[in-house]
Amino acid sequence: MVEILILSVIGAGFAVAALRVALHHTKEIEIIQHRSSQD
Amino acid sequence: MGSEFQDWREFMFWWAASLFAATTVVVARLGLKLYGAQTDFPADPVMAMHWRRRRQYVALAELSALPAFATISVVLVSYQQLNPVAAVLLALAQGFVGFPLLLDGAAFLFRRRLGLQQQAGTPPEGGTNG
Repeated sequence: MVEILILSVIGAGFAVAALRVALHHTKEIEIIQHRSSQD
Repeated sequence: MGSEFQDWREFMFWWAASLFAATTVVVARLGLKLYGAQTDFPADPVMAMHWRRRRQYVALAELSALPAFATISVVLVSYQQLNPVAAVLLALAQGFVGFPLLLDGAAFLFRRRLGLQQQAGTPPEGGTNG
């Protein structure tokens, strides 16, 4: 059961990190869209 | 039937069942979201790279959260003396709601519990859900 708890904590941490990367790419897309709409 | 799990094998069985249930829901949701009606692949190569990576990391985040979904539901059932079937239903619900929304909810709860107010201008973490 301890292994499962460790696996869950690692998975949740990895999920948060992946979400932050996804958020970064979403912001980049928004910046590109904003720039192209101004041109 | 409902009570704390007496045996680690019982705990493992319901954990595996919850994991399977959450996996089914998450994979179905990801399939709909990533390969459903959205076929708007951008023409700009830089934007296409960001678009592809965003999809990859959203999928990765949801899939890596699956063990946590199963653990949360089984631990909740174990401590609240509920029917073990509730663990599977809770895991299904967590998979349906998704990890960004769960994080938002957790942040809201902890902020309230700690007596902190939401800072203005900080975007919610759930903005990547798409």
